[in-house]
Amino acid sequence: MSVVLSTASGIIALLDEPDNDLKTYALRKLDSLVDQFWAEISDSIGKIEALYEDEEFPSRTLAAIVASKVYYHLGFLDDSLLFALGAGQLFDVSQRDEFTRTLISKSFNDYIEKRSVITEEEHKLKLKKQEEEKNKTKTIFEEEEEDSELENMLIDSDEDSEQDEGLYETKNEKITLEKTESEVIDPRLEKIINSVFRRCFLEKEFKEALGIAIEARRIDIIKEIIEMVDKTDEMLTYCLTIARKYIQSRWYRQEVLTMLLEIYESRPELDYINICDILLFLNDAERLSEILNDLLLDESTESHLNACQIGFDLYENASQHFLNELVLLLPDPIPVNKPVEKDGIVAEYTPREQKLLVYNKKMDQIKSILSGRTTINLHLQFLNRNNKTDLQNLLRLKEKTDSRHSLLTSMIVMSHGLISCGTTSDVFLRENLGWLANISNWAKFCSTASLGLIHKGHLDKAFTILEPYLPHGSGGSSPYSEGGSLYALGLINTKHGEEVTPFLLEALKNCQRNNIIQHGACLGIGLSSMAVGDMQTYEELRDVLYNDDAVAGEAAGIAMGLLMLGTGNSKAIQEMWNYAHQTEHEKIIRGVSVGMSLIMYGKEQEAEGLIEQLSSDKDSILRYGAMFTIAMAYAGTSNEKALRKLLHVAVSDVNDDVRRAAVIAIGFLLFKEPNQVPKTLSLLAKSYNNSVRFGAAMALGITCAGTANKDALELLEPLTKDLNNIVRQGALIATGMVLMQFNEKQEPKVSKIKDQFYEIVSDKYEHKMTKMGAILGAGLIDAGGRNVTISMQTTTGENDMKAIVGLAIFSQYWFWHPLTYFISLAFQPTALIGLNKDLNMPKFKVKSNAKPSLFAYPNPLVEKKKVEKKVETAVLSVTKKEQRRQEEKAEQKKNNEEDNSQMDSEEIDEKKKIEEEKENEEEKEKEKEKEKEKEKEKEKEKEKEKEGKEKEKEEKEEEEEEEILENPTRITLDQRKYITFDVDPRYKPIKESAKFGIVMLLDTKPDEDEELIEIEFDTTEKKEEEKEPEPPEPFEYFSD
Amino acid sequence: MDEQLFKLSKEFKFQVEQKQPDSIACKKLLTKLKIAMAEEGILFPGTDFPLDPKNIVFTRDVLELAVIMSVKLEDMDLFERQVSQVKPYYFDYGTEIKKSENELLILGMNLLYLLSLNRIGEFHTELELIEFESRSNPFIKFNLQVEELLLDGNYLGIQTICENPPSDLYSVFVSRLKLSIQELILDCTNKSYKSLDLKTAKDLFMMESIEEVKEMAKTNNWRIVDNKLFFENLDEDEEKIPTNKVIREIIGYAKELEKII
Repeated sequence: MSVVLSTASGIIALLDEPDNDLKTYALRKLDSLVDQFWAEISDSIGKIEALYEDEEFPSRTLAAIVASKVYYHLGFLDDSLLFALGAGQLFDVSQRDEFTRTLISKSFNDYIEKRSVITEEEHKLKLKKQEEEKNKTKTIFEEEEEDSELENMLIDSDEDSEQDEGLYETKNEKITLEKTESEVIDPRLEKIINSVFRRCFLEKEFKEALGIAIEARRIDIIKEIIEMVDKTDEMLTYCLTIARKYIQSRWYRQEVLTMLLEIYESRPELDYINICDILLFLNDAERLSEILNDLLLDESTESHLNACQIGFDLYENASQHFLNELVLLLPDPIPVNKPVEKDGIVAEYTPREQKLLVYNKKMDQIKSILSGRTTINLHLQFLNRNNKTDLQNLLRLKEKTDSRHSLLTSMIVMSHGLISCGTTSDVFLRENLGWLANISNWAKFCSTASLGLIHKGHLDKAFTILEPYLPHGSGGSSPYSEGGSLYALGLINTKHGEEVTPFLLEALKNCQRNNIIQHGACLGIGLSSMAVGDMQTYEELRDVLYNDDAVAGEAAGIAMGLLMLGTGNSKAIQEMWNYAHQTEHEKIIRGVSVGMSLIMYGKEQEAEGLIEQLSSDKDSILRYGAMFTIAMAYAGTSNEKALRKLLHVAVSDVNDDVRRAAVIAIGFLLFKEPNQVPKTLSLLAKSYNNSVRFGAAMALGITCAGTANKDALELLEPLTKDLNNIVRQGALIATGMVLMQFNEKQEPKVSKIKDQFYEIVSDKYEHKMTKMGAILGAGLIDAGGRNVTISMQTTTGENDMKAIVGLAIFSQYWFWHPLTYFISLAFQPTALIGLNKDLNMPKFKVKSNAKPSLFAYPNPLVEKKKVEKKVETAVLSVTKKEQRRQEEKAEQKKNNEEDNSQMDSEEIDEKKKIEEEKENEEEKEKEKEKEKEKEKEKEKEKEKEKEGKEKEKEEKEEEEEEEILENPTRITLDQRKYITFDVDPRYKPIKESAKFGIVMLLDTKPDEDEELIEIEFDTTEKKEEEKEPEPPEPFEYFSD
Repeated sequence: MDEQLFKLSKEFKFQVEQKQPDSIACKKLLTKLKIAMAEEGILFPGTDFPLDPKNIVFTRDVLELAVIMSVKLEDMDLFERQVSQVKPYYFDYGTEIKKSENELLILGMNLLYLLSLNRIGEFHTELELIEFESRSNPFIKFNLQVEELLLDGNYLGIQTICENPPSDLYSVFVSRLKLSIQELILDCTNKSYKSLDLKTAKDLFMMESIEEVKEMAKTNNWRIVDNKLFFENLDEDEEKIPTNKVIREIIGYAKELEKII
């Protein structure tokens, strides 16, 4: 006999019994029935709570668990958890029911929250103590220069700072007060958490446990987990990635990494590459230099290669400041005396000396790698060698552009600069000298500066190339080309200005306050001495700023920011802040506020003070700067608080510029998760406000660059047809960025958008702003000879400071077009470059396990025949019919071809012959029809493709699912996962995980001769013979 | 089943069936019994495993006795508790066993208890649980009549009907019912009259003597002057409806609405 209870009232009534045993009995019954009768029981929850609180009552825990379950059903999780904690053993964390799971996750949330608050406080208190100790030893004067978290909050005047300090203290007091009240973690909670950890260990759910431990800031547990797991390697890497990607608090991240470092170092086989990775993160240059030195002292090739690989990785990921420090810390070469020849006997080095010589050589090598020169040179070689620029595209646009229109002409030049960025190929410019002669004023500035873009990274030849344009003191050419050339010098030597900065400073002094030259020189200095933080240079720039000239001042403001990039220098901030309030030039205010944002690069919470001040300013330009400060300070962190603020400003500020900046800044915060950005921006992209839509387009462009993200393209497509011409401009540029390096096979939209660019430029009635967007977009989609992509993170996922800054300044192009060139800082060559121990490129092969056409370069546009220019003859309807028929045929043929693409090569050959014959006939018949020709061109292209494929087929008949690539090769982002290193018989990469970038190769047959790849710069040699043509004469400009 | 349980239950029965049961002994015995039953697992057994009808009948009988005991002892809290304890044995566990003779008596007492406390809502809920056929049973029918009269306000009718309750045990509840009716009447007279002469008051309040009325007046702070009872209508003006204001506002709204349309 079984019975279904319909009420628990009988049992509840038992609770009123005077006897404890009966109550316990009732509670036990209720515990088993609570899931069914919680509603009924909740009426008497007061009784149960009273039982729990009654200290005489023997089964208090039982009452607690019943109460907890009732509250759980009622949805009061806080109360539920409280009682569950009171239930002690009865709350069994190993249960798998919903109640337990919900409460556990709830308790984790609570715990994590409290832990993070507590640990932050502890850290703050610790900092404060340190501060106090420091203050004791320091005199009052020194205190002012002290650069600390506190100081950054005190930017304004002294009075304010006192107030701030006061605030800070009261806040601290408050915190300690709170701590005594609520923020002490319930030991029972901790017990539960610990028991959950134990359970995870038992069930081998280590990754989950690790994640929770990291979130809950329990370093002890993290350590325990890593030590417990056998597959320590996997766990360590997992922990490392999590720590670097998801821990937002800076000091805590460092603490975790320090702990990881200890573990890494305690292992018998040292994993140098990972250790160095962590050391870099911890900013520990000293230890890093020791490790490098040790590796170099070791005689095995492997350690040598390891050292080189670390060097390359470091250059890619570390800040300039860190690298400089590191180079200084590395020991100088040990001098070796040349052996003296004695009596005709050729003296030889002693073995020890020989060793030293080798060591010295290696040390020089490393230093050169760390200075970045090697990387830049290799990239230059790669870009030059693999240049696949298709100038036809650009010429097509140029033809359609009215040469009297200075804006669009200079845009064509800019676009060319982007296309040939780093390729050192300036054929286009040389072939179009006559056309360039039309350019004047700032357009000339831009065109001269574009030389810098084309030769970007050509450090050795910078002066030779720009010689004709540089200011020589004695009047000479126009200030625009002089200024432009100085800017170009900066672009070439970005971040490597040891040689050019003095020259630029000299030029700045000698220009007799010509604001155009000053402008160029300031930008040049900013670029070349980026993040150097040199105070003397800073003062020079500040003097320019204080002259209160709008043109020069704007550049000076930006340059100051670039120079002090990421230093958080409070003096600079203070001075710039003051000046922004003094001057009346909007341009200067804008330059300065962008500059301030750059200084705060990567400072995260430390920048809060400045952000607060700027964003509450009544000057909209400073609020605009505040948005960029958020973007810079929190770049790539996805910080929730900052994000919320940006979203708020994006929809609430009264000024359009500020709103636009806020939306763009969202892109900077989220660039590490490009897939999330379209979702975040989807509503903003449909805003009624033009500026917000433009901002959304830009943000999509910078975050999803080179990813061809479907959602992003979907959002951008309607924007390219927007009613507002500026929005169209932004969307076109962004689309260009998103589709970088994609061919039609991967993303069919590529050809569509390219046609759209062309159509927009050739449309007479289209607004010039939109045309500008189309021209730039066309430049970006094929940028750097189709061998670069835009990315704000390095290959290991670190923030790429140079790129972030470049894009931030690029987004100022809205106000000042020459700043467009800054986008080149974000260009990353997508190369795989294999190097041997002498840093030469050996002949080396890698395999790409994908269809070759998937990642092939797009086919070049075939030059149109001159027939096109003939006067169009009248076309009879008969011919039209005929034409249509032909078209249909052609289409059929095309279809057939596609169908038959799997056919044997013989068949195709035959077919092709027939086709060719047909074609010849057709050509004779219908020479005039433009459309027809296009059709044929396509066919020809197809055939070419086929031929290519056939050749490949002949080479390796077995499969066409893969492709062998020769060193150095382009490997696009999507292609990376297809790369394997198993084809080359001789070389193996030293770092297994490296599938792109610069890879050191271990030679398995060191005795054999190496086949090296020769690199020669055609263009540069030619240039030396031909020399650059004279700068074009000034041209009188008639406005139409 | 345990011998001891039987012994205990017999002793309990004996105690309860006495005319004037010993309160302390009874309660002690009951607790003992309950604990023993709980230990045996027959007090509200779980539903997962088959139940033994014998045990259910046993437990039910004990709990029924407990109800009767509480009535005899006039312990109303205990009564309410015991009723809710025995109820599952009528409805849930009861589906599988023979109906108890006392079931309707106890349920009827419960109904009357609720009526006497003026808990009409609960009264109807409980009533719904009782099978329709049982309504003609004197124990239940009595309650239905009382409720009807109560609704009509026929307090005199109640007076008469209460003179013949269906069971002696009902008398406890009947007297409670009378008291609560008296209270109701008092409440009403308070509102309807300014003064009453004592004799009328006595009849109205269904009281035995004028002395009783006087005592009542004392507890309620009513004045007695010249054999007349004066009520203190303190809360007279409290709930006056602000007629004019409401009218004015409504007309205002209407006007505004007109304008909008």
